[in-house]
Amino acid sequence: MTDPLTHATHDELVLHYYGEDAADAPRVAAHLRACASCQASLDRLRHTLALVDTADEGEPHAGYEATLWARLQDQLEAPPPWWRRLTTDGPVRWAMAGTLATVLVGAFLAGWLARDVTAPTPAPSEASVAPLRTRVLIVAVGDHLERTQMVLSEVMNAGDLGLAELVGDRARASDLVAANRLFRQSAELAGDASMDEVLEELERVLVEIANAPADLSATELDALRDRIERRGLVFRVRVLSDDLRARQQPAPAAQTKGSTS
Amino acid sequence: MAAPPNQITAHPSNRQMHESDRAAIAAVTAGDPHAFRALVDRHSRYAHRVAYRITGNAPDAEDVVQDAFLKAFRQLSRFEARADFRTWIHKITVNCAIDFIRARRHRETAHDPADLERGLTADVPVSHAPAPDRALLSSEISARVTAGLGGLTPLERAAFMLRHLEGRSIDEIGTALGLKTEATKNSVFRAVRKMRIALEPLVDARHD
Repeated sequence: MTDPLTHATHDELVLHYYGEDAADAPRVAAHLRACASCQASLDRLRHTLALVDTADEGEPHAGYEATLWARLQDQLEAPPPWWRRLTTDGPVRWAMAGTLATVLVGAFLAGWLARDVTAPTPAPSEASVAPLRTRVLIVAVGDHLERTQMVLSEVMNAGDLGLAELVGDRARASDLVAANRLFRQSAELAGDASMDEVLEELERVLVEIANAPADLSATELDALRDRIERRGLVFRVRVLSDDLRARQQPAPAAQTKGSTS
Repeated sequence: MAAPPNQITAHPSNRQMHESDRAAIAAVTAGDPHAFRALVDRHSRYAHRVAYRITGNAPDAEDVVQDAFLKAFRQLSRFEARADFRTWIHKITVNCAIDFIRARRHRETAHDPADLERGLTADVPVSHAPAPDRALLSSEISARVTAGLGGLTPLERAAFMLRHLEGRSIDEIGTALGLKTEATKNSVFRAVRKMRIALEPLVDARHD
């Protein structure tokens, strides 16, 4: 509504009613003072929306508290699944996950580096060990990416409670940084450029999360989310994760040739 | 931002309730999960009302409340001792309801306000009696409000209720529901239009 003589539209009245028309509010208010018709429309809107307050609140049945407690009790007492403990039970579990990743990568690197200096081994044996090492790396990086996705997703979706929740994410991110570095080195050695690139991007963001100040402001959190979004990191991590999952599937058996009937 | 016109009142807990909540929280964090029941008994009905207003049906509200209390249990060690548990569980419940709505966004189906108008005017006649009985009017209002809210898609309902009852700004709602600002505004506009179609005949009848 740029012209003060033009009547306010439905949408403008709704925004004005909810105080969402910051820039236009004085103009709309001035128009409402001068225009009985628009003021009547706003009054009608106000009366209509006031009726919504009488909406049924869906009062739960008698004994609802006991039913809810029965449903909750099982979950409160049951130990969380192993993968959840790895991701939600704090720094100790994350340190364990990091150690596991380090052991796996260490084993991979040891095998990788040793391949050129050891005594010649029969070709069939090397051929059978190399795919195994690659599979170990794929599985380890896949798990790492899954945990990383959870941290990124929590940072991206943190609501009002998000600032408090980030405390846990910072500790997790810190553990993930160390593992991420090892995986990146392995990917580099293995000549997997696309994995190396994603892990490098990931490392920068994980370092940012790990080093986020305890009193991170909402603006700083938004800026961090913006950087994650601009780099398309959540999507790229998901794509790499899917790719690795596909690579874990056994290759279809080779067809036999030359069979004669 | 203007104050929320119709926010659900988070009844200020009296000192006694506050103290009992603190005692229960202390017991849970000291290792007694059964002490959590006192918090469930005191606040789950309230949380259900909060969840129901956003989800619009009891089974979904029950799932949301269950999630909210589970989350609260797991994060209880982070709860600030001076804070009010009801305010805290209110926030968690709203966030869980938002997650719930976001998770089922792909099932969203659009409703045409014109269809709603036809359906409502056919189903719920407006009484023009000169002095309508208060109880009759009240049940008529209730039926129309229910029908109006029933005509909103889950996303429209969530956006509208977060704006109308929770006093969240359009920007906050957009961020929470994963919508752009214009899409959030449009969800609220469509919801208000549908509610007007459902309820204005009553407003007109009362002011005739």
